[in-house]
Amino acid sequence: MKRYFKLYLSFIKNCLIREMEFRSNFIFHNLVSLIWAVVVMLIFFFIYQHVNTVNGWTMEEVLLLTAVYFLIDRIFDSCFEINFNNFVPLVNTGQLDLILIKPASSQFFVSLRQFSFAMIFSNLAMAGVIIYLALTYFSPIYWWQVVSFLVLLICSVVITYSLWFMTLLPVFWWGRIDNIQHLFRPFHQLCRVPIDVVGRFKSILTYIIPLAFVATIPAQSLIGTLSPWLVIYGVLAAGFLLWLSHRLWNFALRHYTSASS
Amino acid sequence: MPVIEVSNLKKYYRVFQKEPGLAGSIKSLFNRKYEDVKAVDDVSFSIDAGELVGFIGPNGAGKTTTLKVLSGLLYPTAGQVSVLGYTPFDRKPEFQKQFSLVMGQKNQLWWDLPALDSFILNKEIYEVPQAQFDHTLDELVSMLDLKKVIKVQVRKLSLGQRMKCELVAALLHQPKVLFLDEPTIGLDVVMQQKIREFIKGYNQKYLATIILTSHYMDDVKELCDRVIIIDKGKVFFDGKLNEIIKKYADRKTLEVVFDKSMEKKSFATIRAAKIKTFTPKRTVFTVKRDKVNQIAAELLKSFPVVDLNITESSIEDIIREVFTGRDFS
Repeated sequence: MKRYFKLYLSFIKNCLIREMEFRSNFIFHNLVSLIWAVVVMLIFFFIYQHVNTVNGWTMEEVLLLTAVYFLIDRIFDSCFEINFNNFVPLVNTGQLDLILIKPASSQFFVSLRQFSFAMIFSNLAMAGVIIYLALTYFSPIYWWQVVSFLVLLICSVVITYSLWFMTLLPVFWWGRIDNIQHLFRPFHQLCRVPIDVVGRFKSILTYIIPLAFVATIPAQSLIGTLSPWLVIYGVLAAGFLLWLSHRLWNFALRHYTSASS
Repeated sequence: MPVIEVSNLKKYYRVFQKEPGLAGSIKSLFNRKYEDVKAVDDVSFSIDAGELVGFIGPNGAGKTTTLKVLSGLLYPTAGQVSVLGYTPFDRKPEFQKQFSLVMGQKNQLWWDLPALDSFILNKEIYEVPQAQFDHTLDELVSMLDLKKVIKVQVRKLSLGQRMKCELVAALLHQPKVLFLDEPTIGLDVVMQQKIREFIKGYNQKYLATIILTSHYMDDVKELCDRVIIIDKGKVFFDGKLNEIIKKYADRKTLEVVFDKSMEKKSFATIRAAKIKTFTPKRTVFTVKRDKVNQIAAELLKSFPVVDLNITESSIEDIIREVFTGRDFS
């Protein structure tokens, strides 16, 4: 574990050295990602000029949910998305070869080799928005709310990672499917709205395909409407899905055909 | 005790066949014909510690596929493979720390960073102790003359410099087994020679077991005592390089230069010699090994010979003939 932590720091260091070479890219990425979040919040703001609540969610709650979604989404993007975008070429061009011969987890390598600093300011801005909204509209916030929020934040990233990663694996059978990394995106975007709005599908999206844990449940932990046992369920679900993704990865590798010489 | 043992290895791929053109493409969207390609079909061999073995064969013969199975990248369709006592596809870290794979057409170095940064990352990955890392790096850098190169970003290096750095990255953990897949591809003659010398030196210094594939016969001739020739997924020959000559080249080449112009039909009396190329003043014959002396004497006696040269067929010639399936006996 300590070794992987050290390795990850080396990856991040290498990426930072590289990223500093491309300054305008860095600034522009941050800008675009901020604009995204602001526009979505504005849309909700305008919608709420016509209604007071949507299925029990007030405007402040939805804005908090949006900020939580974007924070988690940007953490995910920084750590994983850049790697997922490289995933299909890695498999199809056989560059995976030189990763598979290394005496370290290949799943770790393909998932975390690159780290994007392009979302750093956007992340900080979202954290600021969350703190502001939480203190202004949902105080008092108790320490156990903060702790469960942080735990659920990690669960959310792990759950998103595992589900998304598993949707990439068909590339070992089907070969060239350039946009498979976008397969999961629409489902992920669904998590921007409170999962309650899907009505009777809510339990499926909470317990079976736990998309509710992506943003809704972490936000609820700050709002104060969350039953504690869902925190425990979140940890279990994250652990199980991570394990499953690992098993499927090893299975998929049996069908790796590499490429040319 | 062999380091590498392969018995009855098979690796089949499923590929689909497409008829050419747009119509064929549309047809293949709905109805695909699949076919098994036998990349490796029943290959067996064993290699002892410290051997430097050359894998040769035409494109698509199955050399790279075999190396990939030995590296644990590909799951074999059938057969047993053991390297250093491990089953490669289990990809145990203890095994992976003891071998390395270098492919001339793939790189592991980080493109935008100096090679040294990739070396340091590999030190972490392979858990090489600092002292050993420093020592090995020093040694490899001086063997390959890379002192000034390793701090320059990889994308600014020449192909030859990059290949040398790839070798260093692959060898920092001092692998006992090394698979080199066309390490000299695309390099100029001088650089090829340097890489060759390095490989030989590494083999002797570290007593490493090395398998080398190459399309350049010079690589194989200079480095390998033993060669395994693979063709169409099967082992065609396995033995000492000079045994290929004994086994497959039972003819020698006789090059004769004449004082005055000759006519082709005047050689009709020498039945045992086949004319390979004919010009009035210079003719090349191929002759059975055991008849060479007799025919040379006959030629000297009956024709105005100025110069006569007897040579072995070159290994290139023999192998080319083996692969084109020509009858050369």
